[in-house]
Amino acid sequence: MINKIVRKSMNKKKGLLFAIIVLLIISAVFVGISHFVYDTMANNYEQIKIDSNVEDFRIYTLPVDDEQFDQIYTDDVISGFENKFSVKLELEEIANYKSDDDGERNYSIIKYNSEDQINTIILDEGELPTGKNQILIQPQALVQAGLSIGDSLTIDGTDYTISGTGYLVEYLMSADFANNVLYPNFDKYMPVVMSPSAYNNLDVDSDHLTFNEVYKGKFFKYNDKQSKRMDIYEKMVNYKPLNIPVLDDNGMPQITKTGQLVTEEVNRFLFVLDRQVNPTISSVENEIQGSQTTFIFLATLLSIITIFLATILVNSVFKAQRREMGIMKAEGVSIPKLGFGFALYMAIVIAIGSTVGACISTFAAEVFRGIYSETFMLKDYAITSGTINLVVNDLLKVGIVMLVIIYFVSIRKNLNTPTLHLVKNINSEKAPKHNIGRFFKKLSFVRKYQLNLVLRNLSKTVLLAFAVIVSSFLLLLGVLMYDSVHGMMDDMYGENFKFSYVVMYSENNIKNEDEVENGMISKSMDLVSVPREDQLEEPLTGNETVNFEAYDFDNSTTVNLTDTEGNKLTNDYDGAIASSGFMKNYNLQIGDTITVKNPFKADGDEVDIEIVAETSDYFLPYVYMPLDTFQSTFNIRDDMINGYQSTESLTAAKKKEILKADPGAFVYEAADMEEMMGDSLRILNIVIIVIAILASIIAFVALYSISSVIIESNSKTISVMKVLGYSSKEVRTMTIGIYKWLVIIIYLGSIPLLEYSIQSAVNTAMADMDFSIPINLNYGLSLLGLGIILIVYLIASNLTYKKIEKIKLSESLKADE
Amino acid sequence: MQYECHNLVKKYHSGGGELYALKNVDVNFEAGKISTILGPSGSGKTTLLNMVSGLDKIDSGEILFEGKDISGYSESKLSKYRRDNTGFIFQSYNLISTLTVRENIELGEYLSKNSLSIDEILEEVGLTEHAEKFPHQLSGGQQQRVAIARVLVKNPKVMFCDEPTGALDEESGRKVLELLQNLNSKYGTTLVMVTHNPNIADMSHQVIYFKNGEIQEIKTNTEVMSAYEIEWS
Repeated sequence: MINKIVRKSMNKKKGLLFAIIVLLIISAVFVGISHFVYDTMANNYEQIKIDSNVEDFRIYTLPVDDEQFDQIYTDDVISGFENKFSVKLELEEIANYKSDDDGERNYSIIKYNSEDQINTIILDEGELPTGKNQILIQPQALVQAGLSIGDSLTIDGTDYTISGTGYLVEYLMSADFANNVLYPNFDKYMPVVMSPSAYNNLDVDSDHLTFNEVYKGKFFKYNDKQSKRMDIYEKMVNYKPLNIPVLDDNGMPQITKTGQLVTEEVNRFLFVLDRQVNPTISSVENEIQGSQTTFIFLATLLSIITIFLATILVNSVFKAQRREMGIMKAEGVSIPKLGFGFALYMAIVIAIGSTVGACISTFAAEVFRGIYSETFMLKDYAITSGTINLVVNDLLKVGIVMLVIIYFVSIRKNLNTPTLHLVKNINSEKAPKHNIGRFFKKLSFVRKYQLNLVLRNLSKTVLLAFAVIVSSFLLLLGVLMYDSVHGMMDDMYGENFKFSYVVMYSENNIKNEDEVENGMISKSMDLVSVPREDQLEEPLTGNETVNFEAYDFDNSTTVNLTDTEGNKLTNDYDGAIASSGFMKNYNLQIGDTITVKNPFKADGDEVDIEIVAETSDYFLPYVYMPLDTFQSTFNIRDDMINGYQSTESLTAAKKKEILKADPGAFVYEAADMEEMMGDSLRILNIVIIVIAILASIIAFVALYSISSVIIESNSKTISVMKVLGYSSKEVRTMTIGIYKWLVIIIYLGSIPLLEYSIQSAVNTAMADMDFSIPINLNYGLSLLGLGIILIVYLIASNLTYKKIEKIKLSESLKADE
Repeated sequence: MQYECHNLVKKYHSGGGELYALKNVDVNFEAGKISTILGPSGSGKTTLLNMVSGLDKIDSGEILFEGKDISGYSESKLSKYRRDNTGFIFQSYNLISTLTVRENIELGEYLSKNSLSIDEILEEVGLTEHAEKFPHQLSGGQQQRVAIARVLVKNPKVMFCDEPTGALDEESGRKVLELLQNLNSKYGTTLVMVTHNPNIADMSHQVIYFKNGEIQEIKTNTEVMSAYEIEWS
């Protein structure tokens, strides 16, 4: 009976109840997203912690000889690993490997790209082997062996017919780099492709087949969970430098059996993880923890805003039911029964909102995980295992808190009001103590009235302002993300250019002249001394490395170096430009001279380099030099380059020409990079759209809800105004019209605030990593965001206008008599 | 005639049937005169006031104000009609509690192109020293005078008063009535009052007796008593 009455009375406020449910849904989505992101970050963090456990290690062998060592050493098969996982790989000598150097080397392993074509064969000439005694070999091997397609080749006592030539694409090597795949000398190794029948005939246990030995450490066994990275490592465990893919009946390569043919004993390398502490680990840890904290704070803030907004709306619903409460009290219904009835009803409303929100957030998480599991390595993470439970659980707690607040703030207070007051709906609000109006006497009456209303509804206005700030931040964040990323892309690939560079990776004590002669100049150099060395927080240990990049970028914007004031730096300086991170690390000033060890000289002679400018670059601590200055400084031949980059697509012939001239050089094309970035950009665009929609919903719900509450709680005043002759439009202007300016001011105010706060946050987060990202906020796009939020305001305002129009003067004024 | 009302019908849906608040009411109000509508509760007198003042709409009939039928006016036209011509005094004052006396009056002043001086009005209603007070700091009679001032500042042609003294004691009531009578004579404002108090009829030019939504009798007084001469019941 009670619930029937309560429900009936509540039905009068369907709009507000709907708004409450929407708010709760939004709140639930925030809670869900925060769980989602928290879980993801927590997993990543856990993984990184395990990854960075220096006690864990893995060793595996690559069967190559001394000559091949040099090839491996300079090949990018193993580049990128350090940067990706923030660990060092150290090369150790094994007993039967002999080298002139001291064996202390740092290596990286190439980053695996899921889009690369792997485990396949690129047919060069002839046909894929299908017959029992057919094989396919590499073209170089064919030439080296002096054979032709159709000739016979004897392997392990069996004669095979060469059906064609082709390239084998390895696990760690994309098809694009097939030409560079590490293959040993062909007089020692004979990578072949066989038909299934031929492979089956092969004695895989023969002494001539040597598999890699793999020593597993704990390093890769993080949480016993599968992930994309884990998959890579597993493949590495089974990695064979030379595959013998087996063709299936359709001629497609299978990888069920792999191995290599070894014609003689080889030396082996051991790749051992560095057991020394990597200084960047703590930075990564801090960064992740910082991001986690920031996100959780943001999600919590948003949740609190929406929940409090809902609570205020609920309160206004109860206030509007005072008369019904009074009548029921007058009829003899006890306060506990009434309280229970109202609370039960709200519990149902909260449960509906929370559950729907939990389902939406879980669904969103599932979709996100499903689509982007590869990109974000979400596969098999415990993201969704508890998301819905956590959200429901959290919201259950939140719901209980809401009910308690609502009960004590609204239900109890209203029910304890004298029955007569309730029935007559006598306003129990305290009368104002201060004449606020005197502070803005000079304002027009409308402005004065608007301000008065705002100040009298301060809590609601503050809440609205919060919601608008959140919406503005979200909208501007979208703009910022779009502009920063696209701006960076434009910087990188905005113009046609040609440029050569020399990248110095972090390695110590490189003295091998041969590598320089081979054009493989991916080196780093030891930082020997810096001015004010005694003032450094950490004294130089002798293991500092300087990453040098040397560009010939006269006509290029690839390296868009700007000084600390944003002025573009040209490439005609005599000396070096150092990044701010580098300058800060070593307490350097413009004009200082640093001393580095020349890695291209066997005796490691020292070279002085003057820092002529500082750049706020967004890459790691680097020192930039013009290519010719670099070559003359380190006494390198002027044709020693290891990269070529073009905004234009190059023909195969052109590529071949470049590679022929410099076999160690890489060719990068802007189009390839853009294609590679395509997925990320698409994801970014989707994220931005979702953010914009979310921001619009928040703004709409907040504006509409608060406006409605203000209109409903001031219905008597509005009626009086209308009786006096105010039109509905004038009433709207005088009551909620000021919120238009609030929205505009908050949005515009958010622009510098967001720019500053994001830049500060980025700088703080990246401080330890000496990494900074310039934050760009396109003001044109920002105005678009303003347009969106104003449209949202207009929609909410027009809906509120309908409410004003619907107020029946005779009824609302009569009710208070 | 300032108002000519013909065949006014207003009905409300109640339960399964219809309840007639006004049944074919014909009534006129003369400009510059005081009219009082008397009748028991539920007789339809307030409904008539609401219809004529433009707060509500009739179901059928016509209300001619200065020759123009306002019964078919849109909401915006009605707003303009109320703004330019009418004022409404409620029994419960309906002051805006968050505004001071002066600000409440400003609410009315803002609407009128020919508004009277607020200070003059404050003096007229005897509230000059209370201008910066809030309604809750005033007595009932004072609050009603603020309500009158809020209407008066617009310099309306007609003032509709729904039980203007219903919540007041005799002394305050008389003061309010005296004020209204003075305004009528000073500014020529038409007054249409609804009241339970039959004695107020003695200070009116026209008295309309209402019962069950119908006019029982319309009486015209040749002599009008002052607010202090009438009996108080």
